[in-house]
Amino acid sequence: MKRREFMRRTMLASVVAGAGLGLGVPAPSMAASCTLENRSRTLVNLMLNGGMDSRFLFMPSPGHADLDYLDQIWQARKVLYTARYPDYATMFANEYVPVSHAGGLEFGVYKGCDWLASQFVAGNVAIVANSFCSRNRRHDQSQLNANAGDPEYDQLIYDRSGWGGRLQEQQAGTMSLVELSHEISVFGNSSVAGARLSQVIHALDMRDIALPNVRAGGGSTSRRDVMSRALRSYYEARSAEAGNQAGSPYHIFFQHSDAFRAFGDTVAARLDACGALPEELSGLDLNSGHFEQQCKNLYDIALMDAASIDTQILSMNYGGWDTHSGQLTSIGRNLQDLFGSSGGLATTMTAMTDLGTNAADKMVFNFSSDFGRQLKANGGFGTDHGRGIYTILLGSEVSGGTYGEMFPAREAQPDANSRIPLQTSGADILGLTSTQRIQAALCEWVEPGSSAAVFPTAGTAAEESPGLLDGLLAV
Amino acid sequence: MSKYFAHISVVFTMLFLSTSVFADAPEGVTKAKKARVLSTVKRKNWNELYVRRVLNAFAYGGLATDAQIETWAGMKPKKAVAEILTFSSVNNKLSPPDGGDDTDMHCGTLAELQDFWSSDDPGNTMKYTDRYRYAVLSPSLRLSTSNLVRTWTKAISTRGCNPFLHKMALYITNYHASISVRKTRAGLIRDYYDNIMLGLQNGADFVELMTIAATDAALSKAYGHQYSVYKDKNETFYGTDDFAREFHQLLFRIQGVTEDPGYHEDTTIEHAAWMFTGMGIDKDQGAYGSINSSDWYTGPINFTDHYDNYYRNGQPAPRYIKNTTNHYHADLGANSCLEILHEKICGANAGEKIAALAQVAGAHPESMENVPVTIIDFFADDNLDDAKVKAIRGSWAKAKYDLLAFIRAYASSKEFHNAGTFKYKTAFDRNLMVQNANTLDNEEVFGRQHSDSPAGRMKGQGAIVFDPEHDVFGGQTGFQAANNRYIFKAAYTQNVYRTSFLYGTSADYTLEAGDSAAVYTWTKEWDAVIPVNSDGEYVVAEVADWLWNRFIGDGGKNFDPIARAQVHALLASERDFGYSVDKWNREAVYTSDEIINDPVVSAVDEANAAGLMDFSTVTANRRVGMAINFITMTPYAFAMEGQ
Repeated sequence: MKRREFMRRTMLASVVAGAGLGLGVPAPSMAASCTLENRSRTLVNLMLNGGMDSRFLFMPSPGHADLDYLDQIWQARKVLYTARYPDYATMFANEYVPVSHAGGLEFGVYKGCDWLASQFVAGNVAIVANSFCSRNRRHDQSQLNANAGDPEYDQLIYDRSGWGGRLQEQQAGTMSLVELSHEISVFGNSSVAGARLSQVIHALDMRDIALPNVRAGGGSTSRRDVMSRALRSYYEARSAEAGNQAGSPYHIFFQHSDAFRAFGDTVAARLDACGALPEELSGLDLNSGHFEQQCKNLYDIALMDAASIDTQILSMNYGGWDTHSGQLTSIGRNLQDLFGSSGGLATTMTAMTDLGTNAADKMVFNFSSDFGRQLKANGGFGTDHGRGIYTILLGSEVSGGTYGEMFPAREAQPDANSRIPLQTSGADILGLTSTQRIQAALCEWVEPGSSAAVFPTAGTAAEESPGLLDGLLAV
Repeated sequence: MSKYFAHISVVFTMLFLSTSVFADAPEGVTKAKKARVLSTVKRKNWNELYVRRVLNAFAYGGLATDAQIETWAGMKPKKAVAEILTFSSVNNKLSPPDGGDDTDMHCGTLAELQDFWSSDDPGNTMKYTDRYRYAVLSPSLRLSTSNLVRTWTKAISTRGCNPFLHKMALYITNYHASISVRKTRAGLIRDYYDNIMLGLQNGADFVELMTIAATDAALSKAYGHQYSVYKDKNETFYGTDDFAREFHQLLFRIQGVTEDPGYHEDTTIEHAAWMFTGMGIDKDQGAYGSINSSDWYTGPINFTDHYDNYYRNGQPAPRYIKNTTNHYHADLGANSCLEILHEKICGANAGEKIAALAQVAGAHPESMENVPVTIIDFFADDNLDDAKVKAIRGSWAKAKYDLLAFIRAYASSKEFHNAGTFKYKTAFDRNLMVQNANTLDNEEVFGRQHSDSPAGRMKGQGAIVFDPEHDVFGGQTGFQAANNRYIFKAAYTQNVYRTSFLYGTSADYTLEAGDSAAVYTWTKEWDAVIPVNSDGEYVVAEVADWLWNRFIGDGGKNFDPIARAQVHALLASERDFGYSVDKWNREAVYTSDEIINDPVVSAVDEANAAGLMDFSTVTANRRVGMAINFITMTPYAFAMEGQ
């Protein structure tokens, strides 16, 4: 028997026997062999691909002091609401939930985001207004900018590091970054060319994470077992030989096989021991099947111990935000999935809290997007590409509130070209705070001392006002 | 067919009459005489491996015989490539038509193929019980996307149809100027694809093809500018700038990085948005035979003010399509002009202006730089360096938008056939290449179960034709496929759990309805293509080499001892090598050194390798299927090298 097989079977045995793999309280409804661990701080980077209209998500309350601003934003955006509201106040009452935190600014959160609204009131949400992750309005370039953590990067080269990968490099070598969506993004890429994904675990479906194995006892002469043995044996032997070199284009496929073999069986055994998904998650029914699966994956991560998957950095995404036409329907669906009280995150975090560990409390979500949308609606009941965005952080260790001017008066006043942004096609949210600043703060929160290596220039990156983001996250 | 030809004719006419300022050759073309261009491979180096590389990169492996491949290998490179790569609907050498089947007469468009394969035409040898799966409409008389996907997939592996033509059409409609069937429905997107197919067949150059795309009803529907309006009276635009942006960024690869950002946004994109007005789409009652009114959008776009042929609740309810009224200053006729990309773009309607702008956009320095690199990145090389890029750009300029000339120059170049070249395969590439190498004749294509199409596998691996992974940014790229562990896992799982896909050796079928219809049986006959040796024998080791070269195409470069041992064992005994050595320790893993030098282990491999295969038996054909399952799941089936 080869060494790897011996290690795998030993690990399996210890998991099943519940042999003290970590601290924590067993969840009452699960088999005693699944001992849950408390978790370290965990960053969940959730990209909203397509360019989310964050101005739609957050709108000024009817009591907003700047009446001219209110009038202008109403004129600019009223066509987005399919119901013909007579005035802003009526629209707001029907479409938004008023929120404030600690006596700060009152504003509206879109009604489909009631969970987000409640979290804001509870002080768990930070909204960084007027931020930017790129300088352009192109999906491909901007998504690359956002995932790379470099707003100024102007090349369309995907073979480069992502800020999540650079953060992971500051951690212990045994730790991984886990991609929970169906596609690995640049976010998780390491700095090492030819081995960008060496520390990335792709967990598209945590409950289906292993490569096919032969049946117990070595398998039979069935075609399935014959092929299973042939391929497993081939990859195991060849992976260690000359054909698998770091510079070879084929190297990555050997890495895939190695990665699945290294953790797939272990994870599968762990989840077997921990039991099925709770009913509220197994029955989760969202508009986005992709996001539904990611939420289940997120929950399963909370069941992992250090021996199975050791991670503090997770990647998720939700697409479909490129709302050029008929915005209300599509953005409404998306926002409900994300931020509704019966949406994916609310359901998952509640289920995670029920585990009895600190997993939910130790997670901070970073919601970002490739770019924002234009201030003025287009003629198709939608919005076109802009640049500035509102970045949202959510978690118990977030210092809740708004950072930056939520509804800048300048948007309703003539600019240097004598044009009023809210009346001008093409005008967008002015980005004043680089997302590098926000991401650097997140790096420090996850891994103290890491931000200088991950974002060497964050200290001089743009900020709406000096010290704006001080205290954004718990120390 | 006629309406497609009418659309193409209109486009060509608009190009001829366009009044855009474009008298001189673009700067890039003038400089091409001195620019570096692609250099042709020397004849002495040209061989079968080079030919296979061209077939794999550009034609999903092609469907040519070994004898034809050998013939091409003995020709001058450019001459060989000129025969391999054509845009004719039928290429007799790349994909020779099968006797007894008339598919080659209908390969010009997907519409023709759907009509033919779903019909009872005596020349149609599609099994009778599957014909409805290729019809335009589902049994509920609505447009069927799945039937369209199935048709396209089948066309790639059908002898008589040109796989290179289809790969280029796929590139243009699913990658370069990509849209999704989710936004158009099957009728419009099929028409878009077919318009591009006809354009290619009729010799349209790149600019003309992009004009076809940009004026197509499918793009107007997908991007939403069918509703965009310019009100001359108050000089106000009501609409979306989405396609105005993507016309430049995606169709012509003009990112705007060489432009003043303000000018690019506020003039070029803004004015282009105004240009894409008056592009409303007709709804034609009963279009495509569908009973679903949502299926009734039809092209080509009629740029006049007119009534369409819409019905509501069975009664005529024509809609007034104001494509003249809604277009930017159509009242000025040919003198209606907009400044875009620093040029005056004029035309009486959107179609004329688009044709004019396309010529300017095609000559833009960013387009001249980026378009050829994007094309080669898709087809052939994920490892372009500066030298290669320079040569590619130089040859693009020299080709003057002639897409075929450019591709042929590249396919016969040292820059392609280069040690530094490698290409990760998309799930389209890998699965269709396997399908083509595994499918021996059209009886197999038409006689097997419909579920034995690779469409399902490709879908599970993220590749669905007409539903690109990234919508307007195109389908799955090879780079994305390679970096996605779950695509690897999906392929692995398929090859383990569903070996029958590549292992199947017979299927019964009929060509008529009814219980009394004659039953035919397709059987796999690998000895029809696998060569015997000089002793008239099929030796396992030789069959293994032949299979590896057929499915991987690297001349055995990566056919290492471990892979050989497994393939020898599968061919000799339909068992894996570990079982073959010691069935009581069947999970043992053997290294190359053990296979070559360990007396016990090497003896087993040698015995397997020396075995003889009897292809008069089903067993031998099945064992080949098992070997193919293994070979096509090695890393070498997921990428291609340049040398």
